[in-house]
Amino acid sequence: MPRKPSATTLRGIGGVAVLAAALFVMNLTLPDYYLRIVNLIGINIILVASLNLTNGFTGIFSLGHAGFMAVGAYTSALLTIAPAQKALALPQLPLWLAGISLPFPAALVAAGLLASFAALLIGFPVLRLRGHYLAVATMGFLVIIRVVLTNAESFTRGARGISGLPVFTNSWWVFGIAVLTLYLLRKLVTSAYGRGMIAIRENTVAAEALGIPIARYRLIAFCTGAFFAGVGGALLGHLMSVISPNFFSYSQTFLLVEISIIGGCGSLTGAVVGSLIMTLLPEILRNFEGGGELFGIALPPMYGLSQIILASLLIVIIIFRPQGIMGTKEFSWSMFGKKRELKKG
Amino acid sequence: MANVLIVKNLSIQFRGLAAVSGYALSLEKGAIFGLIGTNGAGKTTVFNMLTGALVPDSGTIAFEGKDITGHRPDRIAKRGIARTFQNLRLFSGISVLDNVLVGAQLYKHYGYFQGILGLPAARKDEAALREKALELLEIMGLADFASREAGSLPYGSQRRLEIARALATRPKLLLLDEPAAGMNPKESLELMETISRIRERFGVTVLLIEHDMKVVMNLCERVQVLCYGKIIAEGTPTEIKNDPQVVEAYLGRSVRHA
Repeated sequence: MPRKPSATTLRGIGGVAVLAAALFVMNLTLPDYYLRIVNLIGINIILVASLNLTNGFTGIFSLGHAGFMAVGAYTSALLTIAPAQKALALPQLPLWLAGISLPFPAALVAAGLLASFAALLIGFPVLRLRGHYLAVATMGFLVIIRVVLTNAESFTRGARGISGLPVFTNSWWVFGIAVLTLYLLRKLVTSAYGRGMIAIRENTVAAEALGIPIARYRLIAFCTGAFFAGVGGALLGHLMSVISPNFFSYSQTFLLVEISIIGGCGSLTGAVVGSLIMTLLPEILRNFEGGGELFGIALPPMYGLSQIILASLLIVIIIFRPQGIMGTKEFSWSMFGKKRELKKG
Repeated sequence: MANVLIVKNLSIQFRGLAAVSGYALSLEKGAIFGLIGTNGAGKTTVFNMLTGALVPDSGTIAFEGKDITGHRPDRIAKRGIARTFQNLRLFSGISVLDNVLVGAQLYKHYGYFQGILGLPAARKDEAALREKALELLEIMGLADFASREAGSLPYGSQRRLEIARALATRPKLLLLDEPAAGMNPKESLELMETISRIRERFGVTVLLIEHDMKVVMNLCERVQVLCYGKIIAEGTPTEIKNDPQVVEAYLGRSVRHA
C-alpha cells in the first residue's frame, strides 16, 4: 500500500532542498578559503554525530575517534591514488594494492568498513571497561594507530605522510554524506538498538536485567560510530590532499570531544549546533588576533586569543550547562510554535 | 507438582563473609512466595544470584528444568525471569513508554540493518511493540504518564513502572524486591491487588521480598525467613508468625534492647 508522505518527510525534503540551494549559492559566490570552512563544518558534523552515538547515547566515553578517522583516511588514500603515482611515492606497496584505483564512493565505503573492523578488534577487549578506564584504553588505541602508521612505511610513507590524494571532496559530497549520516543515526537511535544503547547509558544493571546484551550493543555502537569516523576521515583526507600520522592526534580527538560536549553529546542536533559554532568561531576570532578595528575601536594584536576564548567557552558551558547546548533534546518543528502532544500510530 | 524454580544449596561469600549459605527454594508454578528477613539477611543477594547479577560460589539454580546457574543476566531475562530493584533503577532520562519498550523489545523481530535504514519491517514491529507497551501501562495505571520523563514520576508510580517494565519481558517468574517500600497503606493495598491481578492475568509466578508484614501475610501463600544468610523457617504466613525462631529473630532482640 503506498503511504502518503508524512509532514515530517515533507519537511525533511524541504530542509534538504534549502540546504542544496544554499550550497549552490555558496559554491558560486564564496572564495575557496571560505568554502573550505563550510566543508569542515559538514565533516565535523559527520565526525561528531558519530562520536555522540558512543559517547553520548551509549555512554562509552571513547577518545579513539581520531584513530578511526586515520584508518579511513589512509584506506581511501591507498585505494584512490592513481597507480602511476603510487609507483613513485609508494614503490613498496604489494601488487594488488599498487594496481588498484577505486572510484570515490567505493573508497569511502571501504574506509568506513575498515574503520569499523578496527573498532571490532579494539572493542572486544576494551569495551568491558567502564568510565575513565575505557577512555584511557581508547587513547591507547590512538597511540597504536599512530605508531603503526609511522612505522608501516611501505604503506604510509611513515611520518612524512602521503600527499597528492585526489581532491574529490566538495561540498556536495560532504553535505550529502552529512545528511545521510544524520538520517541513518537518527533511525538507529530511535530503533530498538538505540533504545537499548540509551538504556545502557541510563542504567546498565537494569538494561542487562531486561535482556539487553550489553557487550553486543556497546560493540554495535562502537563499530557504527567508527564507520562514520572512517568516512569522515576519508573526506577530510580528500579535502586536504595530504595526510600524515600527526594529523590524527590527540588534538583532533579532543577537538571532536569538545564540539560534542558544547553541542550536547546525547543529541544529533547537538553535533550540528556544536560543529557550526566550533568551526566558525575560531575562524572569526582568528581575524582579530593580528589586531585591527572593531566598531571603530583599535585592537592590539592578541595572538592566542581565539584559543583562550574557546577554552573559556568550554569551561563556562561545563559549569552552567554541563549537558551541552542541546542536552539530549533533538531539533523538532514543535520547538517553535505550539507544543503538540506526543501522539504516534 | 510443577516446580518453576528449584534452587539447591546456594552459597556466596563476600570477602570471606558468608552472605548466603545453603539457600534452597522450590517454587510452584503460579505461586506468590514471600522472602522476609532483617536488613542484611541476604534477600537481595539471593535475587542477584537468581538473575545472574552475582555468580554463586556453589549450588545450583534450575529454571523450568534447565540449569541457569551463573548465566548472564540478559540470557536469564530471555529465559523468563524478570525483576525489580529495591533502590529503583529506572531509565530516568527517557519517557515512561520507552522504559517499558526496553523490556518489550526482547521480542523484536528486526535486525540492525533494518533498524538503521528505517525499513518498513522495523517500523511495523516498533508499532506492535508500542501497542503492547501501552497496554501494560494501562494495566499498571500509568497510561496517562506515557510520554512523561520516567524520573519525574511520583515515587509510587516509579515503583509501578518498574513492575510494568519487568512484565514487558513476558516473564514466567517475577522477582519483586520490596515493591511496597516507601508506599503509604493505601498505595500498598492497591499494590497487593495489582500483584494478584498480574498473577491471574499473566500466569506468572511471583517471588517477593517485603518488609511490610501486612503485604506478606495477605498476599503470599508461603513465606521463607532468612537470617544472616540462612533459612531459619519456611511455611504458610500463619506458621511463620508463630514460629519461635522467627519471633526471636524479629522481636526477641528488640525486647532485649528495651
